[in-house]
Amino acid sequence: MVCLRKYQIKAEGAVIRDIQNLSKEMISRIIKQEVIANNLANINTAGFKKDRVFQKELDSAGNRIKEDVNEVTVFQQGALRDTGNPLDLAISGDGFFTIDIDGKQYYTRDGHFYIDSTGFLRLTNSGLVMGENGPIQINGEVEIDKNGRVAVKGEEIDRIKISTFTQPYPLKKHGNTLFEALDNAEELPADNYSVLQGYVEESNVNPVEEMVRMMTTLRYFEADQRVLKTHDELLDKAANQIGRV
Amino acid sequence: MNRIMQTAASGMAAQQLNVDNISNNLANVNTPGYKKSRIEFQDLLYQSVRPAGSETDQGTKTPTELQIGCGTRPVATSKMFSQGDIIETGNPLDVAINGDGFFQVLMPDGTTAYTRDGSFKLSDDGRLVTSDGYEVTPEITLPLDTTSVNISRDGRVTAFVAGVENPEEIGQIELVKFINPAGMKNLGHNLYQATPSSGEPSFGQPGTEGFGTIEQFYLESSNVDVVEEMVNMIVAQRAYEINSKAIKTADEMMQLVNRLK
Repeated sequence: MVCLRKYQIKAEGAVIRDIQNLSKEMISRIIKQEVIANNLANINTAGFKKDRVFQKELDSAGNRIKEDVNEVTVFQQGALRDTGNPLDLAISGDGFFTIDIDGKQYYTRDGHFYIDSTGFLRLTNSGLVMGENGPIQINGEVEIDKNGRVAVKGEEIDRIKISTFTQPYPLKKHGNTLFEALDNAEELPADNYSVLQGYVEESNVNPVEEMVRMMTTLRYFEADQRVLKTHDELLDKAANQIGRV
Repeated sequence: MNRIMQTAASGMAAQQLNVDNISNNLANVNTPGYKKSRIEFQDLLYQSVRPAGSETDQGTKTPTELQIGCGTRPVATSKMFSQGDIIETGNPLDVAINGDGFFQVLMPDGTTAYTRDGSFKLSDDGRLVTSDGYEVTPEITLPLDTTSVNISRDGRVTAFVAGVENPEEIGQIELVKFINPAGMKNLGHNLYQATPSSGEPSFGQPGTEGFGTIEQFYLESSNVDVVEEMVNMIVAQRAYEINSKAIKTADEMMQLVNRLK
């Protein structure tokens, strides 16, 4: 009798722990789904880089579910689209445009630029595009070669500052297609790139991949729910039927 | 899961706006002087779910931050001022600008608007006006008994009057340019207005540095490329569809949660 009760308590403890672990797992699947939804919402956002969420489900002993989720931004090159607009720039290769907002530097792959009323090159709805000698002022026909050298009416005025970092990039997303460098990040001049005038880098979100991930995550979520329910039923039996004897 | 719905809804709203814009471009495929517009999107702010350096349940610190984006938003519609095709009409009062620049138009309220549509007409007192009857500035008035009008490539307007042997010079078309034409406000009726973001207009004679030349007997057609717009429409429609799938998935997940008890 004593032995039986001991068994029962042990079993109940395990079931409760399983329920907790499962609920944690379901929450991390929701987070995963939220990230996928954000990728899909930005399928048409120029310069957008998709995020991925990784879940580690088992620890090194292989027996326990962790709730730990990790996120990485995938800096894979997006497709280049010909727009024919001379102020659209795209980077092919490694590096970021450097954007200055009130003295703080941000980085972007979004090349929808325009000239503001004072003649400075700006990112749409955002800050100044930086050249190697500060903001770039343009008054007239502009030509930008693949090294980022800006020529106005045939005369070279500056070179677009393309920055990079050691991989993995110590960057976090700031919104408005901008990235922010982490505290200890060291900005380096990029050298493995070409700048294309009249092109825009599209979002690197692949709809097929995201749909597949969305479906699998949903089905895993469903499986978690079934298992959780089964555990609940077990617990119900333990508490209300075995307990009654 | 509410966040998935909101994120996907922002994506759908953005694509809806994208299709609205594409259909407006397509509707104006035959409007002289019309310039296509496009919508630009940016991602919304990111919500930090777990900052970098927070402790995991194993006592280690997480190396990366967990940030979740909240969707997308349209940030700007910008006009693309690329040259439209120049088409011959044979009408002496049809003029096209081949290059940069805008005609100036005097609005009834005294302000100046700008246009690329050069399908001019004559008012009852012989003044050069747009199709809507707004006067072109600087003012050009054709004398009575004018038999023919000639507009040169540098914008000089001369008229032959019945009974007079030599042509009479009656005016000069002046063009304006903006540093950021994409920042101009659309007034409809093929007219634009200067704004702080377009900058101050700079004036010049057609054919001089940076200004286009004037072509009489021609009209500039819309610069909308039908194939490009159709492709954009397909992309927008599919993006809309895929975002609706995300909402459906979130709904299904919520249903599963509800069925837990």
